[in-house]
Amino acid sequence: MKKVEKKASHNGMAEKWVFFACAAFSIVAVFGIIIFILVSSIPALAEIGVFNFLFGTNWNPTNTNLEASERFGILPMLVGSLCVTFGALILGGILGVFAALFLVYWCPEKFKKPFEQIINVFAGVPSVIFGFFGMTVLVPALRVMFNTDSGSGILPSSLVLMLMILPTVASMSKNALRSVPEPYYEGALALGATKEQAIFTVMLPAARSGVISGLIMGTGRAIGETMAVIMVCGNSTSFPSGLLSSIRTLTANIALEMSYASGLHRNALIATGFVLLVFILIINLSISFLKKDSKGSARLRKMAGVTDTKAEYRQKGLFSVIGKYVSYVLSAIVLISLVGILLYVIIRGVPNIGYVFGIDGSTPAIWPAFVNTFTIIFISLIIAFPIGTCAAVYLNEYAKPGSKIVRAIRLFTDTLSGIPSIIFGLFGNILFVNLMGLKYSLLAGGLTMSLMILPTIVRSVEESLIAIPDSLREASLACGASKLYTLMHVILPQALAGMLTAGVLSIGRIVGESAALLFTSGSTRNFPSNWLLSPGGTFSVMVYTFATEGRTATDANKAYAMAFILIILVVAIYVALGLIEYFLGGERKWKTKKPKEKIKLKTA
Amino acid sequence: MENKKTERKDKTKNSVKDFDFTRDVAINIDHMDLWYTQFHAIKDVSLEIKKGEITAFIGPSGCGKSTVLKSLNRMNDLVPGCRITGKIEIGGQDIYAPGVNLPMLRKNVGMVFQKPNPFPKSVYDNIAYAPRIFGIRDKKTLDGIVESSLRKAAMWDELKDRLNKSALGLSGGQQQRLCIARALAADPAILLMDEPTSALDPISTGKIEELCDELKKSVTIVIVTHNMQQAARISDKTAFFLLGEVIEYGETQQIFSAPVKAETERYISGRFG
Repeated sequence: MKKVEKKASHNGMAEKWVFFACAAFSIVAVFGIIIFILVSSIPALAEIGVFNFLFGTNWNPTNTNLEASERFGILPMLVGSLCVTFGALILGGILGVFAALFLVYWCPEKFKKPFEQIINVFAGVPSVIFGFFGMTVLVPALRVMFNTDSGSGILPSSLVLMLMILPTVASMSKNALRSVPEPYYEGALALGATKEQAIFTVMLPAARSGVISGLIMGTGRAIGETMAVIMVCGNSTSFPSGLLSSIRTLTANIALEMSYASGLHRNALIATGFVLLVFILIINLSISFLKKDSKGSARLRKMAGVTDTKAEYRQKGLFSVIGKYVSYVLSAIVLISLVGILLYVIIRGVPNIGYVFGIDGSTPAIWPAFVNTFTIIFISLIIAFPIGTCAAVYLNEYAKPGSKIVRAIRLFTDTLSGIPSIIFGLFGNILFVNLMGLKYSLLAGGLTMSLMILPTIVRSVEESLIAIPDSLREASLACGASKLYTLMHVILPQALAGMLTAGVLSIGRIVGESAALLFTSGSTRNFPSNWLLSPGGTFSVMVYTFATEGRTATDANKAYAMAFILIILVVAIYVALGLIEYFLGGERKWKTKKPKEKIKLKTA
Repeated sequence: MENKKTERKDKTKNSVKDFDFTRDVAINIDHMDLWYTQFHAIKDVSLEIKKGEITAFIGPSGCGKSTVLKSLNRMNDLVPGCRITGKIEIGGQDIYAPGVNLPMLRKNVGMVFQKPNPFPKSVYDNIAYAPRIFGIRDKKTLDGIVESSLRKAAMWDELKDRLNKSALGLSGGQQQRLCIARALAADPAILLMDEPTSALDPISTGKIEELCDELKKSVTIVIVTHNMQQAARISDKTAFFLLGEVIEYGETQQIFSAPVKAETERYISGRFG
């Protein structure tokens, strides 16, 4: 009897360590990325000098007549990145928050769902589509509007990034607003506030920390975005001298020159990536600090000490009513611009669809893109899925809730998900392509992507594990089943919906990715000849190369057609998510209390 | 639909002076009926509530006492499918007439909820909420209102050094008294209390009861309570509700010592409910 017990507990320990190792993997990954990028930048930083690198105004990497300290200055790009991000944050932040307010409080019931779905779909639209739209529509339009030679620069970059961060800001603000307790609203009304006043003076301030997290996340996304910006910023390495002067961001700098850089130049580009990484880490940490401390306190003023005052109570509320109409107008702008992009890509893509099937006699690009994309999806899922699932199992089933190690793992998983894809691309390029000698290959691309999708999988599986009630675990354990048996036969089957969701979300992320793949799996348009070790471009990468490298009209048409196919894939993924939710019920099936779907705020 | 119409008219009329709270009758409910979609929740209720008195609504759960209370500041408008007929007059105004200024009505008829609901703001900002909503920006005036409201709620000494702290950090009883102070800052003539002590411990309950006694000098109070001793202790008049009807309404003393109706007697002696 005793022997059996001992054996069981011993086995329990072994599996626990396996799960723990998987969970700790994200810590290893984050440190790995930081260390590899730092180590690879050190030669450049040492030769150029940190100060010269950060504050040098001249980026002229190939001019060997100059000293190293004078060739590699990233200040113009640093300023460019900050300007573009700032613009995107202001525009996207305002639009996103007001769209969320509209969605939660004023949107007519029957339009709520469609509006929400449009925003959700756009959260999944690949950045190359936004960039492509900016390049083919926005830049020429600005050129005509302002009557200048260049329509590219800060303004179109900010606009494109605004559209990209808008879904993030809007959906996080929406969730924050929905979770504000309704008694706050009732309390405000009972004190004589109008609906609009209650929203702007109580509900929005109460949702503040969620809204700010959304804004910070949007900032992270904007500063790390590469492909969309490359297509609209103009890419010259000069200081911004106006809203429409050609500039370059840190991310664009890496992506534009990485393919031909070598030696010091290459290290300088990696150092550029390190600077970007530092920015992102600061942004990520500020979110986690925000989560900890959301209550600010005002200064204590000295009270006047007058208690007998005659005050006149007059009805006010003009500003909040204006706010309401502002939110109507801005939501309309959001809706029109999002749907406009979609329609534009469809309208331009459908007539040209033949080009990707080789209608002009060239090799059809679609089939290699198909094979390459799905090979990368396969590789990364087969690596990241088991690790991510085990990590989620450790966090929810084995770890002591709230312990230091759990918090650390969560923090690092979140950090990993906030790292921009260009950094993953750099890391993959340093480690897989060069150090491991995989060259530009589907395998290197798949390995890189497996790191990128890991946080998504951990999060999504964990959420569905959390939703499973403890009574189920207790029931199985009480029948004498071991913890592992309970996990395999009771818990994980119930988490199926979450696992499928994780898979589909990951596929979406890989389909839309381009910056991380450009320097790991390359951009060739052929079938992989050497299977996993041959290079190959995915759909997104091909949209980018057709759009930017194409010289002929045919190439532009191919880009439209590719973009159209990409949109179809994104919509298909969104539909698949909906089906999983519909048939497997997602997490909802376990909630004993029905979650409050919508706050019903009637006019009062 | 109807709501929208009234809302639009609200803006045309600023009826702060239309309420007349010098009258002897603060609230007059006249043959009121209320439906939640199909459910007939309130059946032909008529009540006259005197100025400066504390009136308690008692009765078993689901008898409609809270519903009637919430009709008095039209918080029932928030419930979809709620329909009211009959007449409710407050300060001489028919509050369900078209063109009623809802914010002004609710400023004059304050409400304290069952569960304390302070805003996630500082103590000061909570109290100053209503004055600010109604256009008072002057710092000295606001300070004055905050201090006098807190004094009225007997909380000034407790809170004067923590005015800048979040109201959510207060204890449950303090939060509820803060909500009373917050309602008082709107300078109401009537205060509706919906089971204000049901979520509180006995000591906090005692404090709130004392407070009611003090407040009735300046405001008319209507209180819904499950606690019959509470009704007996603090109220001047008591209305006993059962299944959406007022069974008996009269002097508290008389209701508790010599009820006229058999149902009232059975309820207050604890035989059902």
